[in-house]
Amino acid sequence: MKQRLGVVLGMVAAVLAVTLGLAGPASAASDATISATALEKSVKKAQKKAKATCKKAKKVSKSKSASKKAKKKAKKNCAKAKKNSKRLTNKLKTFNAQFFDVCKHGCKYKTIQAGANAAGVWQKKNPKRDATVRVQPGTYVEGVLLRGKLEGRDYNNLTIMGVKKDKTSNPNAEAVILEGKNAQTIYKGNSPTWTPQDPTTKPANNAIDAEDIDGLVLKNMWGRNYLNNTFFIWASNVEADNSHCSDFVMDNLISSDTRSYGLFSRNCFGGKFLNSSGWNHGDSALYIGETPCDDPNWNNRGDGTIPCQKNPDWTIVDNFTSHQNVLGYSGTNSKYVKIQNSTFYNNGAGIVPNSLDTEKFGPSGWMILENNDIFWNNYNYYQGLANGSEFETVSNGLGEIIPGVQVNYPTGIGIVLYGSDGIISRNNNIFGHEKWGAMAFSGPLGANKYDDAKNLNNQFIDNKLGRDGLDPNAVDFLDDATGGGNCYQNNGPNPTYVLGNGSVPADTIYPKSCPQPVKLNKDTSSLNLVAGIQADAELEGDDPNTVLGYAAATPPASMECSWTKTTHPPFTDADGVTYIEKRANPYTNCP
Amino acid sequence: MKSLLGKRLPGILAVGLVALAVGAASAPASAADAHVSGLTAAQKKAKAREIKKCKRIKSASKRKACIKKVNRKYNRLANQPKGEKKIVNLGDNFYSPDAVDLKVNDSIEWRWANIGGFEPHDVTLTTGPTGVDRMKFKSETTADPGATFTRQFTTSGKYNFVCSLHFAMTMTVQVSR
Repeated sequence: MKQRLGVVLGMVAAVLAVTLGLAGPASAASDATISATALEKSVKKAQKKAKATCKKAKKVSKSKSASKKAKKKAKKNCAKAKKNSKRLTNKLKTFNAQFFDVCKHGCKYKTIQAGANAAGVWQKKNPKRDATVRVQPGTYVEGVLLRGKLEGRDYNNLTIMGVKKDKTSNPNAEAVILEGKNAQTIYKGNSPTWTPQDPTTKPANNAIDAEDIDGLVLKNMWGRNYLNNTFFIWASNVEADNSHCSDFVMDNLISSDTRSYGLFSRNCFGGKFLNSSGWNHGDSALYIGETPCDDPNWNNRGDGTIPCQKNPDWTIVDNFTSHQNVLGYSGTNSKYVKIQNSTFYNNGAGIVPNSLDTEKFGPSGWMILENNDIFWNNYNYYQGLANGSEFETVSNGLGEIIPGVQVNYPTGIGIVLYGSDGIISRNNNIFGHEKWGAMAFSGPLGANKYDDAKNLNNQFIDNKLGRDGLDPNAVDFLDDATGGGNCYQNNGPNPTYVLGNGSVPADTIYPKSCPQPVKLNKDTSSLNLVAGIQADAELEGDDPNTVLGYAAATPPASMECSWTKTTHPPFTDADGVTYIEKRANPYTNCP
Repeated sequence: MKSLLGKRLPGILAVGLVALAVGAASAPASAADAHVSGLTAAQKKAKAREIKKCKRIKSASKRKACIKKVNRKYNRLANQPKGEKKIVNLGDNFYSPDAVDLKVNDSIEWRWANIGGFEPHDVTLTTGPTGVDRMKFKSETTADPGATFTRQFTTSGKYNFVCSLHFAMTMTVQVSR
């Protein structure tokens, strides 16, 4: 009985699978592709059967010995088989309509833009179904522009994915290359704002630039050498634009050698960055900016009772590898981001959430950094291409903040929390940083218009430091003693701390139990000149053991002068992947 | 990690770390004037393309009508009253100048040449006079130093622009008769 029940359940499951395959979400494209293959087989089988049955029927009808009844039966069987064959053929035709195949030779579409355009038109006409653009192996020199506001197209829930020649999902992301060198983006017909006085095409800024689209899925591709970003999904923050972006998936993507950012989302709810990697970016390989709040005027200056999002739509980063970038991860004013099981190494700095006025919804915070390997982020890219750096910053990196004091991006640090509130860093493996393993600090009055970039309520728990002494950080933690509510529990073994001038007890700056009572922005200060960690007492900005003094090193490449140089033995992670350290040539003009 | 440089932190407080603050040096507020005349190169190209398309039509009457339509369209564009053109530069994160006075039919060319190539920016009309199509006053979002965006202002009134990625990056255009 149990066996029979199993068979019945199996049949039900099969029926459901086929049903879902026909009308399922775009993210199930690979499964759908498999179903298509099964359906194609069924069609062939049915056609073969119909042919054989009808041939037999013809033979029977001509036979003198066959009875009238037998002839009738054979004819009936033929009609039935033909009907079944026709039904399955139609089913396959309907099923295949959702796929838009792109390849260099033999496909209906030769560019990803053309395939996506056709898919957008199809989705508009078939509002209940989601299309998939299947991109076969090859190099596509183009920039793809997707605009949610474009009339006659619907890109919501569209999937653009690299596939093999047999049209099944291709786990080898390197097979489909979006090349930015000499690439153009077609604006005419793809941008709702294009007018005849504008050029039809322009140099491609991004590999894929998707604005105002929900549920977009990008999968199995490598974008490289673009003028600005590689995979860019965003929404305008102009209220009148009524722009919205949510729940995208970027899976198995590679970004390299692009000028600013690799995988980039902005002003979006939720979303996933999975199984991807990036290197050689002038800013970060992964950027999540400006997480929108329920109330467009939200801030953290009140009594702390109203969160940015009442029911947070988390952005998940899982299994991301970022190396040789100015920053491994950067996110201005991002919230509800969970970065897990990922690797950040050989960058200028590893994971850098930050709060700035340039974007809405500050500050950054309410994030979880968990189970990541963060190591060797000592790449002194300020040395420039002439001195062994394989990439250079696009930020110009310099600014005279107070007369004679230039401030730069810090290097040689694993985790940098700038003006962040409520970030939990848990169970990360942090080692081999020649300045600080992790730092948390505020932007004092004036750095931020409303003084809301404060070092608040961050927790460092159960982090493993220095590979058990094999590859230590120069100093494990820096907290600038501003803000409050931060804690440092059970990190080890033997964590080390920046203690400034010693006037504030270590246990006050670095409480050992988490969490501490929550501190509110309005009750705390972003400035602390007492502890001697934020800046030297004279504010000359020349003490590299302070936050200001270090970031103001001149030239910026000379930050390296205050590093504790150590050798970093190769590291093999839990998955058996072995990493080798890479860095620019050493800075040699230290005093 | 965007530009903080636009800010000058008051004295001491600058400690701010600004580390993350990058900044962009201020772009020159150059504003050159030039005359707008006839069709632009892009328009000429577009016209030639459309005429070519018309010529492919087999039916003579339809072909003639098509060509007439294209000519009419581009004559209209070419014969628009001429005005002055002013230049506005984009930087991280500002427009320079950020306030411009124009006469009806004057135009603005926004230029990304001094942008520094760090942050992408655009030009987006937030509010304008009644009847003005907002969508036609929106540039692409780019950090390409070669990018430009030109629009003529044929309706008088106040236009407010913003970068759709940087809400504090704003400018106004006042168009009078």
